[in-house]
Amino acid sequence: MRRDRSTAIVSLAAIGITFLVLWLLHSFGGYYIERIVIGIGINLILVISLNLANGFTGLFSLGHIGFMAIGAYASAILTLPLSLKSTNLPDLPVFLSKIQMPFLPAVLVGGLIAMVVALLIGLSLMRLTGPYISVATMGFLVIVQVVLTNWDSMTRGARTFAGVPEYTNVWNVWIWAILVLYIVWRIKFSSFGRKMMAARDNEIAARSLGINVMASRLLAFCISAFFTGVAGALWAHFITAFSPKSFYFSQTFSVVTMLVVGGLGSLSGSVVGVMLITILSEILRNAERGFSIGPLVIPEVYGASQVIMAVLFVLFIVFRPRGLFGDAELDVRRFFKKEKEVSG
Amino acid sequence: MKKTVLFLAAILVIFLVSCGGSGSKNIKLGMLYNMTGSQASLDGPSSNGAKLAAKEINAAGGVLGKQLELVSYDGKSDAETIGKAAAQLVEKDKVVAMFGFSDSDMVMAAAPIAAKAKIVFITSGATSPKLPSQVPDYLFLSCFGDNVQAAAAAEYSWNTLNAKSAYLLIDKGMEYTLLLGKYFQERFTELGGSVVLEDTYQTGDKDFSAQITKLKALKPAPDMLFISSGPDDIGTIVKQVRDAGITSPIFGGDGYDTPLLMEIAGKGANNVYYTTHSLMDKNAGSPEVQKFIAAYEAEYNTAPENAFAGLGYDTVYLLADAIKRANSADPKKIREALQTTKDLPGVTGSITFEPGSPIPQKGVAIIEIQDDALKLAAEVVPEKVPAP
Amino acid sequence: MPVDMSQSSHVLLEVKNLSKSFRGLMALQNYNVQLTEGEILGIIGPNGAGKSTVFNLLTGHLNLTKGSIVFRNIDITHAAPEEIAGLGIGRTFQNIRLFGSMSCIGNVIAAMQMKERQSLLGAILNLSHFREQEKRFAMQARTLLALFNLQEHADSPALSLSYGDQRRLEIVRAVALKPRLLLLDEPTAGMNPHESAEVINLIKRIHDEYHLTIIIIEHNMPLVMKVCSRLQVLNYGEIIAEGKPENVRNDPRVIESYLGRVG
Ligand SMILES: Nc1ncnc2c1ncn2[C@@H]1O[C@H](COP(=O)(O)OP(=O)(O)OP(=O)(O)O)[C@@H](O)[C@H]1O
Ligand SMILES: [Mg+2]
Repeated sequence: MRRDRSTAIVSLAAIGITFLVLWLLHSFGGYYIERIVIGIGINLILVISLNLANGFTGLFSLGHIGFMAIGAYASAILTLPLSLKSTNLPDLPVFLSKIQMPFLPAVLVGGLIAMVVALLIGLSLMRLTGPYISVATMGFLVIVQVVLTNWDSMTRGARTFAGVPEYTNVWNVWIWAILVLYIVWRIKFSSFGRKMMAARDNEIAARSLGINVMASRLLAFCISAFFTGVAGALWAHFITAFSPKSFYFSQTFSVVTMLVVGGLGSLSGSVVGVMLITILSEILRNAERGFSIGPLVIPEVYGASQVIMAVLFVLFIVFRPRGLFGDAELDVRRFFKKEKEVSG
Repeated sequence: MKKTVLFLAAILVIFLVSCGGSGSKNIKLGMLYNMTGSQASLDGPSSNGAKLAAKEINAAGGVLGKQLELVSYDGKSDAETIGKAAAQLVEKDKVVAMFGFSDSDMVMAAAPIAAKAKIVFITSGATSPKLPSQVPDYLFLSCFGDNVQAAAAAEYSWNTLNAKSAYLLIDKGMEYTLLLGKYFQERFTELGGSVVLEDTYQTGDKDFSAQITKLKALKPAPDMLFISSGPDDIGTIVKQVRDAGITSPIFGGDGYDTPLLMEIAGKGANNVYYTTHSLMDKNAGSPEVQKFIAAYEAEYNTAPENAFAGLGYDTVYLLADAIKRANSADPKKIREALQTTKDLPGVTGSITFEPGSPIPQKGVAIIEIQDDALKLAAEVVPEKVPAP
Repeated sequence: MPVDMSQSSHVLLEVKNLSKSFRGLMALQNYNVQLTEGEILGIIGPNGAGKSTVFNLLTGHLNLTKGSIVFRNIDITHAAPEEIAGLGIGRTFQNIRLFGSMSCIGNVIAAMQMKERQSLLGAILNLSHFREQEKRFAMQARTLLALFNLQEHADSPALSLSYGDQRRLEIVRAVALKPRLLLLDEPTAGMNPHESAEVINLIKRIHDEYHLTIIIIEHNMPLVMKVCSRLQVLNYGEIIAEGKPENVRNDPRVIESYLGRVG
C-alpha cells in the first residue's frame, strides 16, 4: 500500500514538473526551443513504442517508420481543408473528398490504420526470428514507400503533400508522449510485459509455461504500431509538408539510434536516449557553423555534427552495447535515498 | 546512474548557453542550403555562389552603407532540422529575408516559418510553379518555373527542331519530373504536336529495356524523345537508349545539367538538348557568365559545378537590389520592392517580377550537345506558358 | 506416499508406443508408460539413451514419429507446448532455460500468471483488481522462492545466480505453474553431493505439499533410489528394465549397460 502510494506520488510529481518545465520553455524559450521540445515529444512516442516492439519482444523491427508514414498520411488526408482537397487531391474517393475531420479523431484513425496493417503483416511476420524479422520488416518499409509513391490519388505520389493544418503543439504532443510512456510502462509491469520478455529471453521455456509467444508478440507489435501511427500523425501536423521519402531509412536510423543508446527494454533509457541525442546533435549542429574561443577560431565544417554523432554512436555501441540502462529502469526513490546517504 | 544524470545536466547547460543571440549592425540574410545529404550536390554550389555575390557586394561598399551578412545553417536534407534552422534565423539571428534550397519539400519546411515572421523566402533552385501558392505573399522563385522551361522546350522543339511527334518518358518518383513532363505535353500538343507514347519509370531504376522495347516498336518512330528525369538517372537512360540504336533528339529539363550526363552516356550524349538556367561555360557562355566563372574560380579554385551556383549568386544580387530600392532593411519594404524588380541582369538571365506573380519572367537557356561539347543553342522566352 | 501400481486409482498419463527418429536415428522406440496420480517415476540410462527425448515429446517440443499420449484423459499427442502446459504439465530443462534478464521473482510470476488471465485495460488503468492480483503473485512467488532458499535473490536477474541456484530457480518456476505432472530433467546435475541431497529433499517436499506426480531423469543412483517409487531404464531408445528401484538395480542387463559403467 505505502509503496503504491509513493509510486503514484512520484509519478504525479514527475508529470507536474514536466509540464511546469514545458510551460517555462513555452513561455520564455521562443519558437526555436518550442520546435525542439515538440520534436523531442514526437521522438519520445516513436522510441517508446519501438521499444515496446523491439526491446520487449526482442524482434528487431526496422519497418516501424512505415507505420509512422501510414499515420501521417491518413491523418493528413482526413484533416486537409476541403478547398485544398479539390486542388491538391482531385482524385480522392468521394467519401474522403467530402470530409474534414478534427485533429484528435484523425490522429486516432491514423493510429488505428497503422495497427490494422500491423495485425495483417504481423500474423505472418511474427513467426520469424532474429535477423529474418529485421529484413522482413525492412521489406515492409520499402513496400510502404512504393505504395505511397504510386498511390497518386491519395498521397500525391512522390510529390510534396503540403497544406496539412499545423495542429501539433507542445501540449498535445506531450500529453500523448506521457500517455504512451505511462501505458507502455504499465504493460511492462503486467503479465503482458512479462510474457513478451519471457518469450524474448527464452522462447522454448516460455512456451513450456503456457505462454502463447505468437499472441504476445503480435500484441506488442500492434500496440506499438498504433502509437507509431499516432506519432506519425502528430509529426505530419508539425512539419505540415512532406513526401514519402520523409519516412525512410534516415528517419529509421535516427529512431533506432535513440532506442539503442537508451537501452533495449528500458523506458527510462528511451527517455534519456531521446533527450541526449536531440540535445547533443543540436549543440553539434550549432557548433559546426564555426565559433571562436578567444583567439582560437574554428571555421565552419558542415556535416561534422553527423560524423561526430556517428563516431560517438559506434564508440557507444562498442563500450556499452546494452545502452545506458540495459533493460533496467531508473528508480527515482532509490536515487533520492542514495543522495541522502551521500550528503548525510 | 547519478553520473549519467550529472552528465545530462552539463550537456543541457552547454546547450542553453550556446543558444544566446548575437547582435550586429550588418544587414542579415538567412541562407538555408543542404550542405550534406541527398541535396548537397545542388545546394553546395548554390551556397558558394551566394557567398561570392555577398563578398562582391560588400567589397563594393555593401548595401545602404552596411555590409551584407549571410547567416547560414546546414539543412541536412532533413525537414525537422530545416524547421529548427529557420526558427533560429527568425528568432536568434533576426534576419530580414531568407533564401535557399533547390527542392520543394525543403522549401516547404522553411518558407512557412519565414512567412509566419513576415519575412520573404526566395528559393533559388526549386522550380515548381505550384510552390508559391502554398505560402502566399512570402514565397518567391528567383529561378524560372518548370512550366516556363517546359514551354520553352516545347516551342524550341516545334519551331527549330521541327518535331511533330514526341515520345514522353517520365520519372514518377519526383514532383519535378512529373510536372515538367505534364507541362511539356500541354504546350507541345497546344502547338499541334502529338505525344505518341507516354511511359514512366521510378527514380533510381537501372534497367530501361522494357521502356526501350516499347519505344522501338513505335511505327513510325517519333521525331523526338522528351525524357523528364532527374540528374541521377539521365546518364544511364541516354546511354541505354543510344545503345539500342535510337539516334533521335532527346530533350529534357535542368535535371540534365550535370557532368554525369556526358560522363556516363559518352558519345551517346550527342544530339541531346535541355533547358537550363544558363550555360556555365568559360568560352561559350554570355559575358556575365564568363565574368562569374572567372570570379568563382578565383574564389574556390574550381569552375562552377552547375547552374545552381549561378542561381545562388543571382539570388543574393536580387535581394541586394530590393533592399537598395526599398532604401530600407525592413522586411515588409523588402518584400514590396522585390515584387517590383525589373530587368535585373544576372548570370542566369535577367529577372522581372510581374505584379502579383512570385515567379519571375526569365529567359530559358537551351543547351545542345554536339561533337561532345555543350553549346548554347538559343535563349527562349516562351510565348505562352501553361498555368501552374 | 508412493501409490501401489496395482491399485490403478487415477491414471494421469498414458503413453503408448512412443517413438521418435531423427533422420533415421531411432532416438526412442515403442516407449510405454502409465502413471498414476502421486507417483514419482525415475528414468535412468546412459548418455544419448533417449531420456530427454521422452520429455520433449511429452511436452510437445518435438513432434513424435509414432505413438499416442493421453494426459488426464485428453489426447495430447499432437498438442502444442503451450496447450500442454495449460493442461498441467510443467518441466525443467537439462540445459537450464531461464529468462535470464528478468528477476528471479519475475521468472516465477511468469509461470504463475498462466492460470490467472489479466485484462489489458485493467493493467493499463492499474485497477484495484489488477493491483491485488500483482500483489498476490509477488507474495506467492516469494513464498515459493523461500521454500528453495532463494528469497534473498528475488530481485536479482536470473543470470546472476550460481549454477545450482539457477537449477533450483527453474524447479521453482515449474512448480509455480501449479502443474499436475512435473518433469525434472537432471535436477541435480552439476551440484555437489550436499546440494543434491538438499534438492532431492525439496522435491519430496513439493511432491507432498502440492500433490504432484513427478518424472525425474537422474544419473545419481542413490538419490533416484531414495525418491522414486518406480524406475525405468532406457538404453538406445528402448526400455530395457522397469520396476521397483531395488529390483531394477539387480537386473543384469541394467548393470551391464549402465550401472556397470558408472560404478
Ligand atoms: N533435436 C535433435 N536432433 C537430432 N538428434 C537429436 C535431437 N535431440 C536428441 N537427438 C539425439 O537423440 C538421441 C537421444 O538424445 P537424448 O537427448 O534424449 O538423450 P539423453 O538420454 O537425454 O542423454 P543425456 O544423458 O546425454 O542427456 C541422441 O543420440 C541425440 O543425439
Ligand atoms: Mg538428456
